[in-house]
Amino acid sequence: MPILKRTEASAGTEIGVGLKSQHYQDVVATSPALSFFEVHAENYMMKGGAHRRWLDAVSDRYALSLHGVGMSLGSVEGLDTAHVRRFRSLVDAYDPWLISEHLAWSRTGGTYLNDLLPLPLTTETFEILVANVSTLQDAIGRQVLVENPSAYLSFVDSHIPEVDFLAGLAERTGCGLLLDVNNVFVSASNMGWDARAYLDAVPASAVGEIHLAGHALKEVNGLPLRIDDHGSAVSEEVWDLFRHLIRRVGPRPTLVEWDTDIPALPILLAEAEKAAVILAGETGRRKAAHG
Amino acid sequence: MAELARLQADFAAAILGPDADVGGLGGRVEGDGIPAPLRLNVYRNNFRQGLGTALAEIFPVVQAFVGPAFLKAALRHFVVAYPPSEPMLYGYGAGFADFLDHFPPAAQVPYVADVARVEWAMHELQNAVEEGVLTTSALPEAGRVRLSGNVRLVVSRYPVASLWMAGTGQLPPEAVNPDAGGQTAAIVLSDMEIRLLPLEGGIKTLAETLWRDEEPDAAQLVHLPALAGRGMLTDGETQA
Repeated sequence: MPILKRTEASAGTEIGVGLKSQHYQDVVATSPALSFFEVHAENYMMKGGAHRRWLDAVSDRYALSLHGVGMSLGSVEGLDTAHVRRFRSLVDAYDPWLISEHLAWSRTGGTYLNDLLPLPLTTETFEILVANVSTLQDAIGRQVLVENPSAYLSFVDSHIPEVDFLAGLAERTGCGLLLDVNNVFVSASNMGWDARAYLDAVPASAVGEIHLAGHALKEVNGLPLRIDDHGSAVSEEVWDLFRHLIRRVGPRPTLVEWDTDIPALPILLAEAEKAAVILAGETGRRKAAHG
Repeated sequence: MAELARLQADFAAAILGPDADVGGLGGRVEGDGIPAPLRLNVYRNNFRQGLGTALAEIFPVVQAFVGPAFLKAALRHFVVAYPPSEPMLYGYGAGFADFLDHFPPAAQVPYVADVARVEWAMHELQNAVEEGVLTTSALPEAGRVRLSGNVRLVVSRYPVASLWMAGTGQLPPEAVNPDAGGQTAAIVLSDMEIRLLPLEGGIKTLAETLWRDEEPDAAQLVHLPALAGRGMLTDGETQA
């Protein structure tokens, strides 16, 4: 089945923010200057009610990015067909501009663990991801962007670097990549990787969207551990990595997420504006450099 | 397949298990500087905190009665004992009221379980498709009437409607005595708004009969127009 890629119609300079219920009224009343809003698919799978009405109102005004957090693409038992059906209903109802999920798992034996859990990056895992991503893309008839998660541990039997794993997945399944720069930074810090080298190894043509968010810095056992809590402004290190990435791959639709300790809408919009300035600036510089 | 299947089962067991216990994951998690059990705790905390925070938003009135620390502790027990089976978190938490009924520390405040039932009913109706209702003038001469899907009933041994009003600041706390006797509260979705209606007398008896899906007798049916007037009877159709 051909996979529809809506991102090919993208200028790449689109900026969006994650839609939070706390901001519904302000968004609809003030129509902020953004290109798109992203929603967590699992928050809108009910048949009706207030949240769906707000989503209808927002999607009348803006392009929508549908971001799944519970598909569990890394589940060894395969995808939950009922959940794929629910996901597909949302795709059919809203015809989202972007669709994404994660390189992670969250479901086993009928229990949903409500987190993006880490996978050992092995050939066994790779084949499971290939099968599950293909199942999802075939079911919805659309390309899915797969996001790199934040990691707090790794497994001794992992032998494929994450960026190679994702590149291979894109090649095998035709999926795109959602590159979360904050997650790259958090994982790199926690695991001792080189964040820039990771960004330099990403296949530019596969990147369909970029995520930015804040994280927390904790001390565990006397050592720093960064926690991807989406509860603060984007850190300076992540802005630097974002500049570096745009210089390398060119502009991409970029989203600012803020999911805990949610601030008033103007604060989130100011973060989006910062991203817009960097995106425009680096894109201009890139064009000048390439003639 | 076997390797990853075992790892995912072990990981789930570790998340739902006690702190610092890596269970079957021992030796498979890399712990450079920060030992594996502490790294695993991040996922354990994410699970408890993420679900706990989501559920606390559904039960603000319970929190008004027991305080944030008590609610947080109760939810931490609940999420580990009854983890979600589906990723739509708006559907998770229906069992919290039953859990409170049997949660020993809540024995001092036995009425909060029913307050939780009211809050869950409100939460559920917020995400429901509003059904069409019978108006008083359209009541059928004969035949079966049913409560609308827009309605939830909480039948309580405690004055649950008054308690809810005290918890939301609509009544002064000193005006409500938890031992004042039972109340039945109807939670009704109507014109996209959710209201709590204390039911009394014949209306209460009729509503409870219909809620149990039983046939009302002739004496109870006298109160049908009152139920219809409150938007509580279905017209048998569901609005788009």
